[in-house]
Amino acid sequence: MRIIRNVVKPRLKSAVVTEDVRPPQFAQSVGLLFALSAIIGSLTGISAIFVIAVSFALAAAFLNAAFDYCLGCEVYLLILRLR
Amino acid sequence: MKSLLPIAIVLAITSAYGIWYQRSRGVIKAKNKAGIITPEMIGGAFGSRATLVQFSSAFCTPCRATRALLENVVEGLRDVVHIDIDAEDNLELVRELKILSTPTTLILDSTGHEVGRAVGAPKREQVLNALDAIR
Repeated sequence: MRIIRNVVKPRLKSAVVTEDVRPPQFAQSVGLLFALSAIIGSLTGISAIFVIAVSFALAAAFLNAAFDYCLGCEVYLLILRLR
Repeated sequence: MKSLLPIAIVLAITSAYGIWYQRSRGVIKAKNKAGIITPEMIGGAFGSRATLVQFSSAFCTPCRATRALLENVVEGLRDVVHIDIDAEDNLELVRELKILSTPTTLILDSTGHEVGRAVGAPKREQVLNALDAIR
């Protein structure tokens, strides 16, 4: 990150267009949530929690990588609507 | 080594869903039975021929692309207006219009009838075709 900011960016001639940080941050926090659930499942020996949490993490990561799936677009509004 | 079956099951289900997802995003579907939308509901004046109402949210990368596309489309048309609404700040309207995900774009005619709806980033050609159909 520092290399890009201090070395690469000043040498680029055109204006640098960067992606909005919020969508990937949302996806990362969802991933963290699943990873923590998996750790809890693993430590307590309840393998069902572990398998389900890891499955969701794999599903989200795979959809994002293979199909350009936008988790924030599909899930965030649904969560808000539940309120 | 433990069984790889759960991984295979997850990848099979997500592949099926992912293919459906990619095919369905951005496609403009005709909507005829929907009720009338008023300028007050969306907080902006209608275009004299058509209005593109986009619902966006913060955690949404394709919303930016959709905004850029629709603004560009509207630029060349004097009688079509683009309105971008933050779904998070307008949850009542989102529930009323049954918006489930962002970006969702509604195509309204001059009287506020919803003639089409695209979930996901639409294609330029499809937007232009849908607008051409409104006369």
